[in-house]
Amino acid sequence: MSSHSIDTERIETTAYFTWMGSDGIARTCVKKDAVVTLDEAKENSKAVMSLEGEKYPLLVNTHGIKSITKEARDHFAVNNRATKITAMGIVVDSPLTKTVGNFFMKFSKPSVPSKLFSSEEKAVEWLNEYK
Amino acid sequence: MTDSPSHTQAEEILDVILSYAKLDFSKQCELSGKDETVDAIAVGVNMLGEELQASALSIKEKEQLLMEIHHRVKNNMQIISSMMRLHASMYNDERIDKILNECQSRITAMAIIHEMLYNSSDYRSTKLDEYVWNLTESIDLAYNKKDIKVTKKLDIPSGLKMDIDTIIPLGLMINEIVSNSYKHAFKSNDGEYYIRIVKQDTGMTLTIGDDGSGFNRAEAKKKNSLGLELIQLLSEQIEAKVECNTVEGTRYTVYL
Repeated sequence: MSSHSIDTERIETTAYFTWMGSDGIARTCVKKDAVVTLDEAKENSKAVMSLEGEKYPLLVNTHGIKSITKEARDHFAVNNRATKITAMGIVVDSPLTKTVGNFFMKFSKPSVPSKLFSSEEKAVEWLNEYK
Repeated sequence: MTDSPSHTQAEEILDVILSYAKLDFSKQCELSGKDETVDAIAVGVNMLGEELQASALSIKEKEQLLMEIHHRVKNNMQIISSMMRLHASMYNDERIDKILNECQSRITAMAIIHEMLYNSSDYRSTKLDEYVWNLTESIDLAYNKKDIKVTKKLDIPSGLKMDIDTIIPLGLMINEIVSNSYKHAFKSNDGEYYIRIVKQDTGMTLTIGDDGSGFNRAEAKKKNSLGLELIQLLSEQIEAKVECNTVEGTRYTVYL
């Protein structure tokens, strides 16, 4: 049984909303028309790191993103950075988010298990294995 | 006829792609918010430009590093060479002096290549005619005797380039052969040495020789001549065949 019963309060940063789900999966959701640079990416990972728990998987909803710089993509790839994230499930539901997701996976090469999903349900199902 | 927004945006994307092809990464595609698919392509092109720019920078950094290495190798070789000169002057022994001078000459033959490589834009290969000219100038200076006039004839096609793995052994071979000409063929007479390179479809023929008195190969072998042994070893390293003719001067023909 999960130690979380309700979603925690949402942390709002420049480009994201971040919170811990009642299912023990952290969630981060991109704001509409967000332009994500390294600053916004750092702000986001700080918010993710501040969530309660030692280690947890992260569900990323990219819907609404307008652009993301290479520095930001590489930052999210976690390489050589301390993290609490055990896996990343990235929901891509439009041609633009699919493009961003694929670039992230193929060029930035995240160092934690990561996968693109067309629906949140499928992503959650996969992330459950990394709790 | 007016262009549709998607058509205009596609033209702008094409313009950005053409800039990236010229390694100009100052432009980025704008998103219109009107056509999801075209916007996705625009974002993809922008990200591709960023990845290309990072790769281009990485290549540039590696080239600068390679240049720095050639510079350092050349400087270190010069230091070793200077140390040898210093040691030779300490002993006042003709035999030690001779051995160290020969070593110095071999080191210089290699140092010239590194110097030429870091001074050029191509850090992997160097121009053969320029290298042979620089190398022979260095040998002429090292063996120059006031009372003997030595002329050289170089016949090397211009623009011929050779990679570092081949030119170093080849340069050392030229160094040995020309140094031998100075030491043995022009001992007390004026003379001439020549280096010719002929490029063929299947390879290259290098001829190095002098108009001196020639030498007895059997005797040289008996004396365990390091120079001759080096020529043999170096030719094997570059998979070349060497022929030596000692009638009417000395002539080495190297088939590459």
